[in-house]
Amino acid sequence: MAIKEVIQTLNQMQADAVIERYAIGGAVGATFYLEPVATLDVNIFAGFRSAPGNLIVSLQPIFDYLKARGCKMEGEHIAIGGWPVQFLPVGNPLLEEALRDSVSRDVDGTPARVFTAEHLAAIALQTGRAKDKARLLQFIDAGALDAARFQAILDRHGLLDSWRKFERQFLSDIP
Amino acid sequence: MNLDLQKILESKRAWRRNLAARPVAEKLRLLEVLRDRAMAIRGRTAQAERRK
Repeated sequence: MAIKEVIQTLNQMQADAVIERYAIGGAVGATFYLEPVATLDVNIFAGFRSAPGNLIVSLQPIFDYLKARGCKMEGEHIAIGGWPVQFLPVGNPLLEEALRDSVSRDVDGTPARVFTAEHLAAIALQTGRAKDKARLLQFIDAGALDAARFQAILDRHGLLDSWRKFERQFLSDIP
Repeated sequence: MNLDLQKILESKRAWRRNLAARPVAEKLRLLEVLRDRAMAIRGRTAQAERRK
């Protein structure tokens, strides 16, 4: 399985201290909790080490590490096991918390770190594109969220107004 | 043919629940099949666009 190769590479990158911690997000992360939905890439959120005195996070060490292992750049992605992988920094408090609270899941004997369902849903609400709203609806429809935990995340990150708007827009006439 | 929309929707929901409940490794394998199919469709669409 090619995705397993991505996960094994991420675990090795963590062991080699190229990244501090990682978690799978996006559609691939959601697949740990929901039915699979077609996606073209793998989104990896990671804590990066910045060079001393440099506040700008650079992805260069990651690309150098992977290129040395035969991976090729494809635009903003890097191909691992045939999958375009996008590395994303945790750029706001919600993502920082999501990475900190990420959980380990077993994939055919390989541990994979993934965001919790509640954080994936909150990130979808915050991002707010049509496909994110569709994903949030999937989480709700599947009963995949712990309501109290989800509400606490929304409250902590100032997303309650967005949630009320989402509820009015999409959930008001659900029987 | 059954045109009871509620039944159809409930059947779809049940199928999605069934898919969601499968082991993660199996779902990730399905994700790869879906991706290959999406890429093939994109490739064909791009070819058709170029022919226009």
